Amino acid sequence: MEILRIVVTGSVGAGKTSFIRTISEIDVVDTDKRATDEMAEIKANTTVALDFGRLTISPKQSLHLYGTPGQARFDFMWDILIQRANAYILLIDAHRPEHFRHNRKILQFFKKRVDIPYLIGITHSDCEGAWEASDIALSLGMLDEQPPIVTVNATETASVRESLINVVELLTNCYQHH
Amino acid sequence: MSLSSSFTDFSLAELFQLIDQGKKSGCLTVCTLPNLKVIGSKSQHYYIWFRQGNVVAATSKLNGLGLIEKIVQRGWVNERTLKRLRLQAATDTPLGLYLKTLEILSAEQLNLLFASQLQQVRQLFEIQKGVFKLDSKAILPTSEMTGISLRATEVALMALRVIKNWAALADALPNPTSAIEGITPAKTQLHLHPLEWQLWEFADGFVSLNTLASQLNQPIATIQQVAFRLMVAGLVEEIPLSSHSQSFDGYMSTYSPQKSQPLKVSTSFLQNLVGFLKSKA
Repeated sequence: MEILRIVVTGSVGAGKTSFIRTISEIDVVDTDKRATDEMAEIKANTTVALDFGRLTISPKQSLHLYGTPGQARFDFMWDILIQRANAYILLIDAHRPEHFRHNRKILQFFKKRVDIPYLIGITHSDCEGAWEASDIALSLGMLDEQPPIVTVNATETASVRESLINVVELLTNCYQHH
Repeated sequence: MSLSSSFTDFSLAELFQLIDQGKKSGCLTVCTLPNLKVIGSKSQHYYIWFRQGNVVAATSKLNGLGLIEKIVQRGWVNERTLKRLRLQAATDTPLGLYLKTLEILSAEQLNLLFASQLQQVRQLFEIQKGVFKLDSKAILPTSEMTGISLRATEVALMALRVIKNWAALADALPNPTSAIEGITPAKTQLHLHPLEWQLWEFADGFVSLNTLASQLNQPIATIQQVAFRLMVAGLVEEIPLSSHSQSFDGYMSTYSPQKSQPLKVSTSFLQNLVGFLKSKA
């Protein structure tokens, strides 16, 4: 069985669970719990363990999607997820600058551990107070590199599919150059 | 879309780094919120102008007389003369530079005026409650400009070295359990202090700030502040360590300079997957 593993990460409320739920052929393993702290203001439920979704391409090929836990702490779960991932998508809520700092930490956490393709998915870009993608890239510390950024609507199937196609194309390019 | 937020969400230091690295121009309006615990406290506005990521002027009023008032206060030129000269200056020439050309002000006097503008900016770094907005289409106010400029990052670095109250930046400081890693070649145009140099040397991305604090015999708060300055200077990145590898023993046992490589999938699988996703689109 050949499995492509993509990790979907980002701050709380960025749309990780929605993203996986929108595309998965199975009911996403729901690990949401009622949030009890400041997260409750953003999202009534947050993912405490991880979300898992699947897409079967053929009897011997499937795509697995793993969502990282919503909380800020980087525990062993993150390490396990990353080590086996082929690529990752960092979802960033464009109208919540208060989360950009944490997103930068997530990106650095991943980059330090793995050298795999990644995509930045900007969500909520149509909301009031949303920052431009170029400014979000700067807030992530991306200066010289051309960051792979797309706009995503995590609740729209076509948009999620398009993002996944982007990731797979990045992965294909990566294989061609290594 | 404009660049706007509140200081509780995005600190002024981080904003200055973004403006510097993005080589942004325009007018940054900072509005402080009144302190409800202080009777009569009012919100105040400040305006900072940038050109290509450099601070070129700062004032607390938009009447175009901020620089003139500073010169008059010091008794260097009278107000009437200055207002007349301002009208004579070319529209694209900073007033300070024009006065220097006329030998009315010296380079030292201009430096002092610019330092006075920066002093106002430095005080803003301690603001806990306020909002900001960067108008990138704003025209530079030549009447408020000395002709001197300084990189936004340098201004932030200077401010972060002298601020006493770090409460406004508490959330922006790197976590004591995180490491820091150098992101540029080992040289910089910035003037670093000894402890900044020292910490930069140890920025290997594996050792937590807690461990570095004890090794350098410094309070963790000091190390966090120094690390934050290096981050704002664009010299290091905060690297979160997973919770099981934060102790020095944990670090030694999990230390792995090699990045892990996941199992590759076949090219045919990737092609099938793209085909599958496109067919459903």
